[in-house]
Amino acid sequence: MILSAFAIVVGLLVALSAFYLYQRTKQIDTQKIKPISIVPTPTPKPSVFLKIDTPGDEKVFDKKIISVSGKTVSGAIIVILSENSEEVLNPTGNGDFTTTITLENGENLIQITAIGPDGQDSTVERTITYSTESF
Amino acid sequence: MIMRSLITFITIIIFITFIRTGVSYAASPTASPDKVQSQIDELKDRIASRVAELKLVEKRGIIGTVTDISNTQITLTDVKGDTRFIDVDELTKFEGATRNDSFGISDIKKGAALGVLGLYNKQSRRLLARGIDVITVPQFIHGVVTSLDSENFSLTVVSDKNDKAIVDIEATTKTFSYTKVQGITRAGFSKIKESQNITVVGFPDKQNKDRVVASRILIFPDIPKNPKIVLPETPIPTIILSTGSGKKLTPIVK
Repeated sequence: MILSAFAIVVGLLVALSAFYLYQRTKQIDTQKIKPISIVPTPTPKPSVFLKIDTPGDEKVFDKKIISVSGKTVSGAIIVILSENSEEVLNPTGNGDFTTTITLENGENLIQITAIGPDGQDSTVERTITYSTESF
Repeated sequence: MIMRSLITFITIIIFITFIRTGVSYAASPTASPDKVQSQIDELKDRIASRVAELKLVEKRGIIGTVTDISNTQITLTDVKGDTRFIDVDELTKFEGATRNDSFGISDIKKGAALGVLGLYNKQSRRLLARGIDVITVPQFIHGVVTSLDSENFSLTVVSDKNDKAIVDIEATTKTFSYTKVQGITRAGFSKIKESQNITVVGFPDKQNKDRVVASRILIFPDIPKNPKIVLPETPIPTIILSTGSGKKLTPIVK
């Protein structure tokens, strides 16, 4: 009885020793670890920007002819579209542009697009209202 | 002598009395400076309040699609996709697409496109409507032509967000071409090529909402296509192999 208990204990000790030695072989040599550097992929910057100075969005005008002005990149073209008209203009050397458009009665949805020489574009929409009502 | 002195004395007394009375009368309007100051302060407050009110409220016009409606409020999604709250009162005027005088808030349904003119409160961010019109909102499509259907006079345009739109050309559609040398010139359907930059102004087809009926088209033959737009790969045509003897090989179908 005592002998069998002793044999079990010895067996357990041997098994534990074997398990410990096996685990030690799995340890990774830190010198062999190569540092991995993750370089984030840069997001390509859009080559075209468009900033509209006038008119402001949702503005109400009591005149039908209003000014559209803003800035974009040099060499781009500006396309101004409304429900019933289209206009294409070339900005100045520093990208400034200004023109006039004629509004229809009520709410007008205007889309202004700058198209760069490489085909990239930037678009701004404006809701402009023509009304002479006073309230 | 005494009499003369007495008369002179009485005259002086009377004169002094009048002078003092006059001084007293002249002093009466400035007798209550606090009251005047309070009136000035009250006026200042009223002006300041009115100026603040004017700065807080401004005229605005918006376009949007109805998402919810009640007797006193309309909820819209505007052209930028933002939710807007419109207050309606007894002074709000309504105008339907058919110019019907009896058109009212009960005639507006969910999904309708509205143009709303009113007073926008910057603090509450609500628009008190003074005029509401049912409108048709134009669609602007800018992108690259990916396919052309010459039989049905339609074309497919892909935008830089990879949205695809099928555009139908009608007899009323006006087509223009823009080049830096010639500016805007009239063009036709035959001038439109695949991979070309294009801008379309149109309206959704009433029968098929997936299609757009173009009212105007502007093509840009000079400008290369937007590099962000990835054109769908053209399918490789199936080539039927020949034995050389004129007999075509066909795949074995089990």
